[in-house]
Amino acid sequence: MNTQPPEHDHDHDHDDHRPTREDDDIELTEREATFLALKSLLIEQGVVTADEIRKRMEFNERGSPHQAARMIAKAWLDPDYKVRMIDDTKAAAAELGIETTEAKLVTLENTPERHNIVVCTLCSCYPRSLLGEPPSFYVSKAYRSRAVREPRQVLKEFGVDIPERVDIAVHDSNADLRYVVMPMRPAGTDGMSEAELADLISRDCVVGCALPSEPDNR
Amino acid sequence: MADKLITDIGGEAAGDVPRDDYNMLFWEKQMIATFNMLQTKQLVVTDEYRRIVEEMPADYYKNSTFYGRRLEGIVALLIEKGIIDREALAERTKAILDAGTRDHV
Repeated sequence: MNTQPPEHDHDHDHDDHRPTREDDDIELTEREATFLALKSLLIEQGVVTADEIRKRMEFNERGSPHQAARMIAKAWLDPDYKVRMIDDTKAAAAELGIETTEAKLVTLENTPERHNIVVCTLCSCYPRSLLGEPPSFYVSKAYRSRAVREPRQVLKEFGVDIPERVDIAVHDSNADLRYVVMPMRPAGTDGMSEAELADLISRDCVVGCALPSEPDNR
Repeated sequence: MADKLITDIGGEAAGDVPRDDYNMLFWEKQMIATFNMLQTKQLVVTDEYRRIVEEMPADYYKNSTFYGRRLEGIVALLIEKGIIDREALAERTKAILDAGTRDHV
């Protein structure tokens, strides 16, 4: 589901065969019905308005891995910005016009000696303003359980081989403090623009579960 | 030593980490936005949500899903706070399920 329609020209009306809701083709479950009932009661009682929910959904959609990637790419190119990002990640986000709702954000810089990975063992704390909703693996009980005990093995299963000589630091997020991993800039990226560099940085890089793509291997 | 919280699973043995990504459903996005609004209005705070999840029966927690827990937690909190009436919610849920459509909400 949720696949993008293929690229085609838009000089014809195709609204008649596009789903009007993302989940149009999925059967209504008891869980969804419970939420819909809850929402309609909250709206009826004046606790929240439909418009507030809609606007908040729009706001939440702004949180995407591209936001963190923009910041990291800029930090790779601008040493002063990098210092500011490490010093105060929320302020550095605001410099790029990114509004953050997290109480505190901390940037963890990967170095040749240390690789950082992020987990939330208790639930799902995650820098949503900069990455969107967490991926399924991040909220899975298996990742939450294992990332703190055997991070090197978990990374290996993700296809990321961290050499034994490199320390792995695991950071457990909480409601008041969330992390952003700043990966090392890959070799062979000299002369690349900020936007080109940002394209190399995936969501998983920012939780330390992937490394940036090589420039010609995206 | 106090019993471990049901959510405190860091360091436990577990199987493979699932790598498939599932896109959020539309209602799940709406639910998160609704929850955010309740937080913005300070009707619910994150630590209350954490507490209500920690109070879930261990067996339920073990088999629960991320968005399922989020829903159960919000519902339980709002009922506890007297913002939502349990019977009214059950009745409305049944009406929606009986109608079997999303169109009227």
